[in-house]
Amino acid sequence: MTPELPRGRTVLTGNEAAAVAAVLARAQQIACYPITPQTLIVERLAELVAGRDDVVFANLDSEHSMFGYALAAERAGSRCFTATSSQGLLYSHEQLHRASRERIPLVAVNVNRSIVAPWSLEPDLADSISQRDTGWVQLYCSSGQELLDSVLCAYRIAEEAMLPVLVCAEGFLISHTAEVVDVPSQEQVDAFLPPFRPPEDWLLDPRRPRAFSGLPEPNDYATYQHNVAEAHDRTRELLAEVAHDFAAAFGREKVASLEITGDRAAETAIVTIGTIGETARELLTDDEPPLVVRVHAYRPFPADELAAALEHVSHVCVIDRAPAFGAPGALGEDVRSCGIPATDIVCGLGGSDVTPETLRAALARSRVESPERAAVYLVGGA
Amino acid sequence: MAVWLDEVIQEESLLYPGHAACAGCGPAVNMRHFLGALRAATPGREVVLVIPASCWTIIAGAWPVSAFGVSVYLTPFASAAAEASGIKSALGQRGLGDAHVVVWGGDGSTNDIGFATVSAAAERNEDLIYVLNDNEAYMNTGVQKSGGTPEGAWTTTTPVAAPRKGMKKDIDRIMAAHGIPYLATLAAGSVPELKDFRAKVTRAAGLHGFRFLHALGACPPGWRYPTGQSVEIVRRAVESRYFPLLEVDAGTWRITYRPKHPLPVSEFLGTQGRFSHLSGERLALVQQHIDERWDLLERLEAATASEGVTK
Ligand SMILES: Cc1ncc(C[n+]2csc(CCOP(=O)(O)OP(=O)(O)O)c2C)c(N)n1
Ligand SMILES: [Mg+2]
Repeated sequence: MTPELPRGRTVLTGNEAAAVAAVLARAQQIACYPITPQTLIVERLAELVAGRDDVVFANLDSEHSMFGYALAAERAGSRCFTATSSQGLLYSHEQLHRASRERIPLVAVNVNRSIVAPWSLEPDLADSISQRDTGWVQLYCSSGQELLDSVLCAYRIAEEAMLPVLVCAEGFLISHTAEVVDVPSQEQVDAFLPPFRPPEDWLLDPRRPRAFSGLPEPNDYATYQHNVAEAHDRTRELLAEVAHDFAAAFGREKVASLEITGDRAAETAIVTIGTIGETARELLTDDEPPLVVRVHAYRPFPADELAAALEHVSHVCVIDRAPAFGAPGALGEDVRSCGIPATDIVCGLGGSDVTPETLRAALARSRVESPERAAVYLVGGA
Repeated sequence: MAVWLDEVIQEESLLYPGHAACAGCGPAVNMRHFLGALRAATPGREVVLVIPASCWTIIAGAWPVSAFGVSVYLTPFASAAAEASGIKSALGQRGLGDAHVVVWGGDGSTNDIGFATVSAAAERNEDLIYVLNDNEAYMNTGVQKSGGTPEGAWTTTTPVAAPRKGMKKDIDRIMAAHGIPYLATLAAGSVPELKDFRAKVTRAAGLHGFRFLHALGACPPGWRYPTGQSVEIVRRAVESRYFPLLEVDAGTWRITYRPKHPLPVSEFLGTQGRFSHLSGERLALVQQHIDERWDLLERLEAATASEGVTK
């Protein structure tokens, strides 16, 4: 017997929230391959869709196959869902690139986990941040609620932009933490998210034989890529539109690209991503509180919006939760590319704690480092 | 016989003229006959070809032009069997599940990089036809050794001074061990081989579940012989028992063609530059291995026939 979906305000882990969101989004295909800490998403989904004849649950032989299966099934007309972490995302790298270039609106959840070596199951963002150039829209969450909401929005974004969307949430901190999550009803979700109706000229239809992804002339190849870039540019506005519709449909705010808290006239700003954004808000009651900017949409990067948010700030400290080798951290680089001098601090690697104290230390350190420096590491419990 | 051949030759080819295969490409002959026999067996059923990186990425034509009269989905090297599974399932959800979904994967893709995925699709008994397009090396990248490269063969990564050791992977036994509904080897040699080829495609077309067709395709640039000889070389591969024609139908092994007077394998090997360095003891060893495998197939046939193994 298929278990009932939770409804209304319920205590759920992040992984459960993601699984429930996939069902509410009426994913028709769930492609599965296990990896900690993603496993509970697919385990829960297996239970939730068991016995349903409108959903296929497919156990594959690797993440490479899992993404391949889901991309091809989307191309043949099914709305799909999949999830992975860490090594699994890296193992799929060639499929990720291809997904955006084939304009496949797949939605996947990445439960962030650090990368070997050495082995660690604990969170940092190196797995998905290192996929930033694959052409996926990337959304980073800071709570189970935001994870559920973002999966629902991700389908709207993906299918309107015809781009794949990766919804990221840190392992354990979100995936295994139980919190109160407001679960919408199926009727509400159906009103927000129409069925998957991809463009006819994109869809694989055996009755209209065509070749997909064949080898083009160089100029056609370049145009293909340019189209992806343009789709990303259009997606910035779409993110705002979908967040607006979400708030109207569910009566709850949804961050579009950036979450900005504190006083825009503050002298200092912390720019960060993921759960650290939540922690940083605890500094808002400090004597000299910083402006806190949490990046939710990492790709497309909300450059103009960020520049506007930081207009009056004189000192910017970026917190990157992914290692940076031989260059500034990824987020630090993005902030600087907006013409904003910023000191880039790397911390929280491999699940090392990032407390308000860590962030105060990061701020202090950022004031004495030259912003031209590459990444400044806070390690050893600093 | 002549009438049959006339009909086959006159049927509309679903691989169009203008495709980008080399002159004398054996796999192109296989593709034409495979698609022709499939369409003839099930005229009302659409076909979707799923093709991993291989020579066929190029043969398919310069996108958006297509050399095929059926849909073609070109995939990365390692994932074709998984992608075909996804397509089959999704088409089913759209009410189009009657279409044949066919993987056309090279020996490199099938034996090596995509093997786990092929094995998994077989283990799940996906409703697919998987054609192993075996030209016995990584040809698209310029003739490198794969798991399907035969004993003693020269390739650019097994040069004459360090030739391929050991026999090619026995993919037929490996795939049969998955307990799939149907497996057969195909060779488009002269009329008897071609009849066998098309009869097996017809058989596969009428079944459900994972069907594995292993097609030998001669490759002039990779095997090093003049382009006009592909059909004759494939015929000799069969007549010398180098490439036995067999099928495994619901677990029962059957040798589908027994050469009356088997040629020595040197009559096959000697046609190709890739084996030109083989002589004496090394050649005798290849002959021995060919004979041993044939005996093994005879035993498998006898054993499964008497036991009536079914799956
Ligand atoms: C992951 C990956 N590794 C390597 C390649 C390069 N590559 C493309 S086609 C090919 C050879 C394919 O050999 P086979 O499967 O035997 O098919 P054939 O070219 O002989 O038809 C190789 C090695 C690739 N496309 N992807
Ligand atoms: Mg090959």
